[in-house]
Amino acid sequence: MEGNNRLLVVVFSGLVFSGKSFFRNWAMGLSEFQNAQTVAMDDIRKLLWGNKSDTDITKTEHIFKNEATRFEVKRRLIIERPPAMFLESVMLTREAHQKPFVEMIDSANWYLQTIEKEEANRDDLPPSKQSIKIDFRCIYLYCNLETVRRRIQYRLRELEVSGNKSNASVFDSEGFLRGAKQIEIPPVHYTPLYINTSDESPHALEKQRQEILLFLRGEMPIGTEEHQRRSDEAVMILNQACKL
Amino acid sequence: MKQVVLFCGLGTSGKDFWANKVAEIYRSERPSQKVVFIGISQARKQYWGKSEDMTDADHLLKNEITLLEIKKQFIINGVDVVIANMTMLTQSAHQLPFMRMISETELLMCRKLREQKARQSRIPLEAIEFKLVNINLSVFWMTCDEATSIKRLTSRRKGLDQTGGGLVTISEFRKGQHGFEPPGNYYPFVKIDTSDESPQADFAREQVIRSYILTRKRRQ
Repeated sequence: MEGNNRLLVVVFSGLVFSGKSFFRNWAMGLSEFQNAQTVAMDDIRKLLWGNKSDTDITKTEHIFKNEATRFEVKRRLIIERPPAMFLESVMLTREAHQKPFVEMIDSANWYLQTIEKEEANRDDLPPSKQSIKIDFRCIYLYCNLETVRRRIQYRLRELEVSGNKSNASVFDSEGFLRGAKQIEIPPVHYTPLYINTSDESPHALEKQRQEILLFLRGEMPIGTEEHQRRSDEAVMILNQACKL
Repeated sequence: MKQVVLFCGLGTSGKDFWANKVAEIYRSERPSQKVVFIGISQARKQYWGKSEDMTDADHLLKNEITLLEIKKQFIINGVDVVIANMTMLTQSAHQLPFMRMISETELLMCRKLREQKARQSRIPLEAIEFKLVNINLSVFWMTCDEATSIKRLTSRRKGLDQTGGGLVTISEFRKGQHGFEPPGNYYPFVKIDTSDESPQADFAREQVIRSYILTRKRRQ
């Protein structure tokens, strides 16, 4: 995938326990994405506040952290031009999270294409036939409430053994329910690939990975009807969570 | 009171020299205030290296990086005074975004203050009055005549000028000169001509700058 003019930006979105880290780590381990970069919210938090816990940070500071994270993605895309960037983000609300991300991608595209033209002009080179372009793809991961409960138990056991080394928020079911009430699905500024991660069997996992891989390669692996079905299913699960 | 002291103008006009001088004034005369100096060349050195390799769009991105840094200093680090050195080349792509950043920062600081009060006093956010936090802005448009610019460029190339300015070639200077739009629409400013480099002229300039920054009234 290197050598072409496509810069792939993938956001693994969804609520806590949906599987964002799991699938991002898997994708970054694939040989075709060996030069992919990531920008972790947690790293930005450490850069801004050191070891201060997420819970000590005000809502306004969180908003700034989001802005700083988007800007770091944009800066790297323009200056470092990695072939791919894999990110994890809840992408909570349309106006404060989803739309600003798409606007950041548009701005980065403008910069990349303008710099390309200016460099060609400066070096007396012919204009590029195929301009550099960011391909932004979002994967919305979701799972049913039973799976959330199960994964909370895993996490608690894990924390008992290893402790919370990262200082990130220790999410529990309250955290999940708070997110479920706030998240705005379906997004309107882009079309995500919906992946239900509830089934953790090897066969289901293989299917989820295949779909994600096709999507990363530029295809939409499911038809319109299936896409709509999954979108409805994701919304239904959120509605169920809101009633709890 | 929060304050931004901005030195704008073309390369070689003396922005860096005077911004550093003002930083010294604050440190010695207002030691209790948290003061930071943010130069546009910091971002250039960190991400691009030499200025002559940069495209116009690179310069614009450098500007954005610097604006975010100023915002961060107020919102996250809680500084009182930011002393900034930025060319502010055009009105629409530089001066207007700068003022937008100032307004956004003021709003975010108000919100943060309110959230902190609510958290400390354990009362609902809605019960806390929304008080505007003003950033007092002092802008100096630094200029000098062409002969002085060329003399300073020559010094930089020979390594005699240690002020840290990024501009070293005449062609870059001319390009900036061609594209520069004086401030005027978005903020008040004081124009400072640095062509006369005599100690008496420096002293007079320092008096003007000092009285403007230390006696500025609240921005309306």
